[in-house]
Amino acid sequence: MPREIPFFDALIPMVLLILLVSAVLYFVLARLVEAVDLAQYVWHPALFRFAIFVVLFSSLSLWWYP
Amino acid sequence: MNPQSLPMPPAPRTFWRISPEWRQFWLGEAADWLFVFKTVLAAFIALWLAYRLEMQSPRTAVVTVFIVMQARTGMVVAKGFYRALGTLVGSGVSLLLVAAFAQDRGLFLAGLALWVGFLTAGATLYRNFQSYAFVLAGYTACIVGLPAALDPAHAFDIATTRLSEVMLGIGVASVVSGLVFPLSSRSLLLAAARQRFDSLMSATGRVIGFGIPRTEWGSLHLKAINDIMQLDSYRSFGLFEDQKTRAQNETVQQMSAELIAAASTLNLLNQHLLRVNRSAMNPVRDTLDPLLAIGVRILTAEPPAAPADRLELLAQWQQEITRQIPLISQTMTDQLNAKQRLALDATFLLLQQFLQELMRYGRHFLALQSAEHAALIEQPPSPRRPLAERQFWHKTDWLQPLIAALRTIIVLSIMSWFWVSTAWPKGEMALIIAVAISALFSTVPNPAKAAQQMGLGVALSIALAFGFGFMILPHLYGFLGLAVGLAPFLMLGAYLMTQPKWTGLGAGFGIFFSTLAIPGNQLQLFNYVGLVNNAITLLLAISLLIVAFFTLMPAGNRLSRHRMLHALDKQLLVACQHPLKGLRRSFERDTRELLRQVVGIPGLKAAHNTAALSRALTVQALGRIVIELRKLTQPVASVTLSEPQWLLISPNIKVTPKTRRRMPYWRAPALQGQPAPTQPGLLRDLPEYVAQWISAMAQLYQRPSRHYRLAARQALHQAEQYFPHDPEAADEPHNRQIQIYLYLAQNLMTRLPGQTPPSAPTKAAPADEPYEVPPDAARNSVL
Repeated sequence: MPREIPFFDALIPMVLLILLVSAVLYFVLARLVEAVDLAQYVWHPALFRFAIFVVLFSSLSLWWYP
Repeated sequence: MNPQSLPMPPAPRTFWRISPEWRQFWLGEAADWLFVFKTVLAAFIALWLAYRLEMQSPRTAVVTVFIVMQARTGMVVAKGFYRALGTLVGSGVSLLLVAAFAQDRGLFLAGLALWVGFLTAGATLYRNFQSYAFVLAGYTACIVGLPAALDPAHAFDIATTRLSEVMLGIGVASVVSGLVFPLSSRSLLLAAARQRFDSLMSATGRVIGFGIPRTEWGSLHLKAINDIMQLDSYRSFGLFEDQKTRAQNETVQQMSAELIAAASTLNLLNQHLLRVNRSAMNPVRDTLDPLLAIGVRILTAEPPAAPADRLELLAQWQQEITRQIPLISQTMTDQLNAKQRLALDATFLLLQQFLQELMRYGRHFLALQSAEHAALIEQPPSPRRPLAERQFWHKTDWLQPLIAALRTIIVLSIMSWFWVSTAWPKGEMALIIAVAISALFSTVPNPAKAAQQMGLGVALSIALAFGFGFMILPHLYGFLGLAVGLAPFLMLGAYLMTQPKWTGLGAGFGIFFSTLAIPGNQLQLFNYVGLVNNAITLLLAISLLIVAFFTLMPAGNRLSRHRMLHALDKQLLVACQHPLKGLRRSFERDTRELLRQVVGIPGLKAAHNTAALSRALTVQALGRIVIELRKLTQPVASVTLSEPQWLLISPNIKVTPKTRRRMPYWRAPALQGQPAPTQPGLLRDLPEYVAQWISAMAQLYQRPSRHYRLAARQALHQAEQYFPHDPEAADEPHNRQIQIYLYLAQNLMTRLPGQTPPSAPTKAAPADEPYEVPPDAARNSVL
């Protein structure tokens, strides 16, 4: 899998794209979490959300760069 | 304020649960140290990551942390968001500039100056961090554009490096501030809302008790304005914080709008009751007292009841009033003369309207405080205001942004000229710093003072950077060593930032110490010459700036002071002429915003301040009356408005403000004949008399002079005279309301412009009333 993709002749690292994708996924998930009010059962909501993001981003990147 | 009585939602689910006493400590001193700790922690994480990722200048990430870090999580994220936005736009534009003008430095610098000036002007039109994004988009173009123009082959790399370093700093700052002992701005929002509620209640209690004297009302009014703006800032930070605040965004906006509405009616009521206090009105006062006493008891009870209970009591009182009014009017008809009856009716009208607005405000307030009250908003359908009416724009006079833009452009031009003509190797850095700070400080109320503080910070950072660079740094090994060596300095910067008095110094120190002292990623030799060069550059740039801020249209110069006061007066024209839809809200809000700015002008003497305040209160009350009258006489008002020359009602005044405005004032013809007298009988209808008065007021405020003042008074007199001729029409409720508003306007006619004020403002305001921006806002506005 390519590590960088050209975009108008500028090489964009895939990590950046993965970051964007996981950010989008994260926002969708965060909305879901808000909708079911999961935060009620969570000790540290901000940490929880951060962890969601870390999990998303690292699993996507590890899948792309095995 | 008693934190225990706050009806807190279930308990903030942060992971330390503390009792209210501890909470007070946490919000005070401990919060400052927490801020220091978090800032330094974030700085080190960012620095380590920047070294690890082999970024070119890790110091940018640290500088960003220092810039973005704020006490509350929401603020950090908000500022970070806008900083990211500004950096992105700025980098993009700098690439465009480089692509277009890489060959010609003159065109390039001109393009840069235009862009920066344009955005500086934009920044003064917005509030809080939105304005910051504008500033940043301007000067990032400089930061990225200049090195890129010098090295066009690597322009893109320079832009991306800068972007990633800034983003790294923002990311780390946001994460640290959100994860490590997060402090939410929601509690600030709730506390501020609660405080405003309490002060409105106590002010109301005093108004219906005895009335609040005009001078004191002024300072209360100012405080209320500042509080509301503060509330709105907290709301905008909360948007970036948690879902709950986001969900209540609209409630807060509605609450502020209703609060302003209620406060403006309270202003009228206060002025009216002060008039009722006079001896001629004694019977009225006697009639009102039993009814008002109930309200006073509810509002001034000690200790105050919970907000919900108080509002409940007030609702009962409102019903009581509605029940009593017909009874009182009936029994008192014979005992009061016409004037007194009018005063009584006016009180009832204002009181009822005020209570209605107060209850609407109260409902939103309760809904904000706890979710279980949220249903209350739905009960009586209070119409949702459209967005435009709820938002706070930073309304200002158009000259102010222009001044800011011109100053930045001039600073940039001087610096570039110096750079180009001396071929100074460090000219690029000096230019960047001068432009960045000039743009940044153009949005603070007193830029010269802020720049001075920054200058102090720069001097301090140079001295300490020398000490660190040549005495401490040589003994350090590895990142851990560097961190230990840096820690005391960064802590000093962060601590200074927490002290409202030293915010500017702290920010300057934090930023420039990091710039000077933190070693780059490639191994650098210990470079005396380089550091001295950098220090000289910094000092030169900042001194040029201080000079510029003091000399080029300094804040509070005569012209802008005059323009601002004029803008305040012009609000009355807005009330007279703009389309009625949503006018009341926008009028109230813009007048308040303008007043806040006028009072914030540095160097305004206390006497001037009082005069401006009194003028603004008159404009506010008159504008409100004009709007109400226009609503009551709508058919005429709207017809006349749709025509271009809407002032044609009065046959003797042929020159309309509109036509006058197009002419230079020395050519504008004077009014014909004597001041707008119309033969009685020429105007048949009451609305036309009212419209005539409104047009006279508009003319007066367009060009204040004795002549127009007389005309306005006469028009009002004529409109009032209409009633005795026609007693049946006078008792019709609609006409009665018109009569009441005319009567209220009468009260204000002694305070019109175009004359020396009846009581010259020699009586200085009490010296202990610093009209200052509250500390939290001050901290946000710097950098």
